[in-house]
Amino acid sequence: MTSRVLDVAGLHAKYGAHEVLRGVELHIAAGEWFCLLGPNGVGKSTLLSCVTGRMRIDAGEVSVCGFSLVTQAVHAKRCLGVASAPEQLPDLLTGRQCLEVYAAAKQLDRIDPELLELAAQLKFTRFMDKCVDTYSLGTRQKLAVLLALLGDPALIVLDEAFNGLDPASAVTLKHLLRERLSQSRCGVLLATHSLDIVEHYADTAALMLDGRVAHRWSQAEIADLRRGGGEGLEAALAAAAERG
Amino acid sequence: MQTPTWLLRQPALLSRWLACKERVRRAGPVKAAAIALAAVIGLAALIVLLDFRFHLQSWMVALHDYWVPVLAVAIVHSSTVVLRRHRRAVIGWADSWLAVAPLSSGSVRLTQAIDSLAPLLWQYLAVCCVLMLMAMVSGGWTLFPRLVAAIAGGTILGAAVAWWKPLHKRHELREASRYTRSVAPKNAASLQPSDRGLAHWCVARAMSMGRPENARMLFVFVTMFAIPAGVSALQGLAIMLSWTIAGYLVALLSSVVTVASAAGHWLHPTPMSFGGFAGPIASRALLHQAAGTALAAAGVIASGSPWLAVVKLSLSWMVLVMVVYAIALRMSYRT
Repeated sequence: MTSRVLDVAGLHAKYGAHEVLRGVELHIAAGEWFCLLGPNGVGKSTLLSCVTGRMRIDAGEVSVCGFSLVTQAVHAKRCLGVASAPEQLPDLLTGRQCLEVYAAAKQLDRIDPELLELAAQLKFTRFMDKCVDTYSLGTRQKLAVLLALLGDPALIVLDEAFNGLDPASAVTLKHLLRERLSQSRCGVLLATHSLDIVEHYADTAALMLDGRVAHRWSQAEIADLRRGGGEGLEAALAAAAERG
Repeated sequence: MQTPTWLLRQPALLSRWLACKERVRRAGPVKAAAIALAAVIGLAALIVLLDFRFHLQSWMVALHDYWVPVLAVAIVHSSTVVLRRHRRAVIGWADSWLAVAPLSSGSVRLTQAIDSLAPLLWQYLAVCCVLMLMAMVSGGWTLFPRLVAAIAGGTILGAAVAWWKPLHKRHELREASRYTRSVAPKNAASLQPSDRGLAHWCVARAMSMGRPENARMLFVFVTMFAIPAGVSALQGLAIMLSWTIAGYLVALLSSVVTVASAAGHWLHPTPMSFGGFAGPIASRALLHQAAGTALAAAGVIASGSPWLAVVKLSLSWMVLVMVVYAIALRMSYRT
């Protein structure tokens, strides 16, 4: 495995004639928690769709752990852990079936007992044998996160994955991700509007505007902002948006 | 087109009206090709009607004489439609952006009533038009009023019963899984990678389609129209069994298409191979299709139909199933 878990170079993507991504550059290393910030409709979710192979890219290159998502899709996807949107989960399968099917789809030999432990910590175990259509939003979100963590992926992609989670579960998940990151087991790409996560957990962050990365904050800059408190981050975001 | 003033006092209906206007605007002017197509279809329908005009009169007479079964069918149909639409309207309203608006309960009920009853009205008008055409072509005008009255009576009665029937609790309204067989894990403490869930998914989807309000309709139609007079009880049961299985097989055919699309989307970010994707989805469904087709064919043969024709029909069905499954799975799988 290379130390880089994600490389995005010169990425362009369109919906019909409308160009949503205009030359995005992005690199995430193992052990790095990267937060993608930006107003609604600037292309954050589209970027995640391209990174997870859901959307065809028009130009540029996306590599996961050194494998091109276009020419070596199977190898690249083995390294990916993606939290689907809660409404995309199959409503007529139980949580257990979802996990087993997803594990088979990821060609895993076994499911790590660590995942069952996490399910217990998230208080998901009692929903394990109920169908997904009986779940609340938060419970669906927990299942989506468990699916993303299956097979110890090198790159975990989360789109607003903390929405709907109760505070205790959100903290448990953040600590688990932090622990995996500290062991350089993975990199995390999180699209979020929550400045609290950026302030307390992120290593690096970027602001997207109009389909481009308009500003980046390095680890040192984030640390500075952290010392300055939440207002420092808000002000930095506003200033970056102004410049962008 | 001007928005009627009274609609301005009914925000829920107003939003539907505006959406409808926008849809019409986007559709643009009616194209010459569409007009030509409608004319061709109309002409073809007229030729068929004229060709069958001698049979039409006997059909009209039969429907007229059997007005009670016609009334019963109208009751069952309208109650089924209204029950289903009412349930959808209630769920749709709870999810809609206007659900949090301070609207009166009367306004909400009116919107739900229109959503539930409008399709029935269109269907009733369409049936009346067909009957009118049949009467015009065959000269059976004297039979027309009783038939239309029987259908109208049944439609109103069925709709009224369904509208005032209490709905399930809200959480039950949403759950399709309440009609599927629950799967108890052999060892609840362990998790193993397995594709069995994919195979189960198609069957579960077909079972959720076969919910009582849908199955009831099938039973009534089969009892009234598919079992000929004078057959033995055993033959009647065989026909009923064949139709029930046929209903399940059709639901299973459609469920594989739905599941393939949903599974393709859900499993897209995984490195699953086409074989690993298509195999589990198709295998159990195909097994059910083969066994079900054989059973239904046996039932039809037992009821006295010529076996060669039944075998041909069964084989044709299996070929259709395989073609549909292959196309659906191929189109849903993308790496």
